[in-house]
Amino acid sequence: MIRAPGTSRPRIHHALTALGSILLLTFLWQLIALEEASPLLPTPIRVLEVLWQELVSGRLPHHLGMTLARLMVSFLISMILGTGIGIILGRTPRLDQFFSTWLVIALNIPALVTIILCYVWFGLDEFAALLAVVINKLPHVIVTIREGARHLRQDLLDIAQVYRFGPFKTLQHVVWPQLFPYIMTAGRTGLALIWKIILVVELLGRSDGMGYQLNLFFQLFDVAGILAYSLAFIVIVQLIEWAILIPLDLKAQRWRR
Amino acid sequence: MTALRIQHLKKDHGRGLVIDDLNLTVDSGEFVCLVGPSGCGKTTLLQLIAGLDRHYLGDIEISQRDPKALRIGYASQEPRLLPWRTVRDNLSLALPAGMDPARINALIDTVGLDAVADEFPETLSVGMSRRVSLVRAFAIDPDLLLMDEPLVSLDAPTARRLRSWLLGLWQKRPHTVLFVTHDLREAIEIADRILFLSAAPLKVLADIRVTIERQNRNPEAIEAFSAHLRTCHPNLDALL
Repeated sequence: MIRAPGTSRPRIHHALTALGSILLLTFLWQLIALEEASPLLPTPIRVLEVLWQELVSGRLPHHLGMTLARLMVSFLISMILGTGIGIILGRTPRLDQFFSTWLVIALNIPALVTIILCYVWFGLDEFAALLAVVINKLPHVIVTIREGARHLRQDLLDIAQVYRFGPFKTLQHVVWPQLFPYIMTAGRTGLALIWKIILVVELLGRSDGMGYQLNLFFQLFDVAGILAYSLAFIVIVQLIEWAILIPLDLKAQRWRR
Repeated sequence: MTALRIQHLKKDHGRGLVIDDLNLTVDSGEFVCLVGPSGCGKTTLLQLIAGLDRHYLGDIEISQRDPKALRIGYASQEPRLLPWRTVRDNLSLALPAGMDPARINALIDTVGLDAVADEFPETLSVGMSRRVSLVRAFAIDPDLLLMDEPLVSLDAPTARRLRSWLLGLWQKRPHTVLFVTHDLREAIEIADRILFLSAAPLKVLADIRVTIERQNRNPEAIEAFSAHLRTCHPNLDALL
């Protein structure tokens, strides 16, 4: 049985353990930073100060907002396209055979290469930036969803056919629930991957966003700034996990024993 | 009226013939049992009739009352319920467009599924899941009901309970039924007619009407009928 969130003891235990381990990490960091006493390793308190300044000045919200907007757009495009293509390839072996070499090539091109090529071919603009991210992410989504589409249960598809569900009902009630775990996997790994690629894209060819800002801090050797932005970043990723992904998971899995 | 007519049906799996020139007709409202050795192609035959496999030679005609769509109810040994939908949703989803969804609620009460209607299938016992799968087949008011050993490998009391429940369901509204079984006693108990099938390639060896009145089908009468079959049809010995 899946326990309802917030009602069970193990969840509280988990939260306490996580909190304890974070506190210990921060404490160790503080100790080492005090010992070193160098601007290249600021204390956690100093990092929080910078974080606060950046928040109040509006710089952090602006750059984080730009990155989040790019993340959303490229994430949605690659998930929707990737799911569609993945289902088609997973259900038509002949197409799959033909395009599998394309996929292998796409999976193996280094992210940096696609980013540079997109900027060279399409100019240093928003379109090229988003395209570079999508091209990097898309093959991963396709491969994951294709795996799910290959393993759809034939007995249930038969039932959908005998009882004349039609394409829309079949997709909604038979295919989608089976693909859901694969879509969640693609989404999770996708988010982690896109975060990293977007920063490089911004660093190389944009004049705003987290990547741009981190590059600026790098040139100034402002380690506190870098850490403050990373912290903001980590918090956002965790919020997405808790507020969106985990509830989705729980809702979709409630039929399991 | 003829509900199902099969003419010169041939099916090749690529490893030889599974069905060879099969002819059969079933009247509307008739309960027909198919009895044959395992692996003789009964399941393949039902799949062809259900339209799950279009690669065959010959004709399969099913008369339909609703001109828009043919309605076939299908129940097998595997209940094949959608595990991520509740029992109620599994039943409602099978309903053809235009059929009143309230029908399901009424049906759930009359067949005794009310206690599990809002459960997910994985929480049900084997017998209960099969019951749901049978109710689904009946719920659409089918032109033809296909049942592929729906009572096999249940413990004897469960099978007996389910069998008389199934018969009750059918007698309230006699649909045309094709029922596959390898249990001759079961066939004699429930069928109007029994078709004995050969080993692959599948053919009809004998077409026998069960002449005992339904209310008189007690174990002794069934035993006597089966003994009578043995003497009259020595060629069926392997099946009996």
